[in-house]
Amino acid sequence: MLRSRFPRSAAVLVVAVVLVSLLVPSVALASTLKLSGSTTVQPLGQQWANAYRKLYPSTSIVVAGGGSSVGFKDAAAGRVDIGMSSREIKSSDPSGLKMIPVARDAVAVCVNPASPVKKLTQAQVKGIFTGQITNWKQLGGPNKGIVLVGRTGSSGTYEFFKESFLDMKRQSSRTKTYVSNGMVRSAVARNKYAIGYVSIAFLNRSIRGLTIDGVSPTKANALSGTYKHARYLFLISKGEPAGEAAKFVNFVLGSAGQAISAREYLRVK
Amino acid sequence: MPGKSRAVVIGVVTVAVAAVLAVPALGNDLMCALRATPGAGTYGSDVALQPSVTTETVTGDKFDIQTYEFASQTWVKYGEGLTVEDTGTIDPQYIMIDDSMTYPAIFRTVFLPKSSKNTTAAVSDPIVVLMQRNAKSAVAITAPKVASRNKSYSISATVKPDSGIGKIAMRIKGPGGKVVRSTTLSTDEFGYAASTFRVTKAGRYRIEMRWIGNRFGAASAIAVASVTVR
Repeated sequence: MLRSRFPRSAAVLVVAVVLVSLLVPSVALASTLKLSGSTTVQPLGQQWANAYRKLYPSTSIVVAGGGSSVGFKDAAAGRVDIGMSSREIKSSDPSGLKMIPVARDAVAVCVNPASPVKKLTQAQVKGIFTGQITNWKQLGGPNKGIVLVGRTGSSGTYEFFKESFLDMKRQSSRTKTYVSNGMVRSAVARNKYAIGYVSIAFLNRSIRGLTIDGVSPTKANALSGTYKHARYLFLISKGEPAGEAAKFVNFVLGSAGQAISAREYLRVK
Repeated sequence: MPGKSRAVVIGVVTVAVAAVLAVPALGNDLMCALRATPGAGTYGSDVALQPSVTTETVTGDKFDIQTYEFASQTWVKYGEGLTVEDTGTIDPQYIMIDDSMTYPAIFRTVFLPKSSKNTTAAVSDPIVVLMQRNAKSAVAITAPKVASRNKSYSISATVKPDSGIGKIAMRIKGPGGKVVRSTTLSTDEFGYAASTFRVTKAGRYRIEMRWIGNRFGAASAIAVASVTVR
């Protein structure tokens, strides 16, 4: 009988290792996703990332700002997996990028429900918020000063409002600026002489969204383009998204991701 | 040196040293501050957060506002901050005393000058914003004075002063004082709650409502409205 050169202790060790590897669940290799770009999309990106990580805890996601232009450049250079943008691509942006609309943003001008003013033109809105029109009687309302309510200078909602309504002029320094859409809505609801602007998803019975140039700020009008003070928010990919990036984009466009979009913006699916 | 003169010299030197130490450092050290006006408020009231800095601001400079998060014991960014749009002008940011914060709330500001590519140049001392609870509350009921049997009517309640989201206990008593309905209504952020009134028997009904109270406002006494049903 041949004697085994393999010591019994080593054989026991090998068997033990095999058994342990069968019993211990395999650990998925951690993956990392990097996003950068629009500061308007950034908070939304962070909310998507937080929800995505609950489903896929081994994925680490970093969401940075820097602005839409940074999102285009970083995506093109491969510094990030996904860029974020609150504007359409321009000819000066890098080529070879895929724009994926993930939410729609629209800004509504709102007044207190007790206000007799129900419609304005864009020119009137500009006149009001740049301080040229200061009394409601100039708009057919009561002889009372107009109380301006808006967002702080770094806000994406303010940036879009400035671009869409004010021809890039800054809002009057008399504007009381708040940190959130919710506070702007609350401030307008509490003062019958107030006028403000909020993301369209924040319109409810406590304030009235004004018809602008004959078009009401409804979700349907914002999605169809009839209400022109609206824009898409995008994720940007260098070519077709692949791997973890593709999985993340699918999540954002799915029901859970779009429910997150609908909290402060409008969904696209 | 005689004792009395020595004491005088020591006293003068001590005062001079204290005065020097009290003077803010000169040179290139920037200092910024944050002021809250007023420092306390009731639910729904405004507080202006006004940053300032010991240098002239230019267009593009930023002030981040941060709040202290007790759970994680870290400073977190509050809102998107302020961007200077006109050189030399720093507009305040307003916050509202509402459900979005716990109180006392602690804030500070971080100055990010454009010239340094928005890197931190100065951080203010923290300030505190307090919430003042409404010590007394009342409920105002809106209901029809006369109603028809088997028909639905809107009834509503408004809590004054407004204390935001909470509960109102409602009880409806019918002829003879028998309770025909007992429920709780939820108020919205403006202290408003609505329900319906519909009964099948004629008689005099009594609608009783009481605000249960929350962190922003004390509970109220029972408010009553009468409805005659024909």
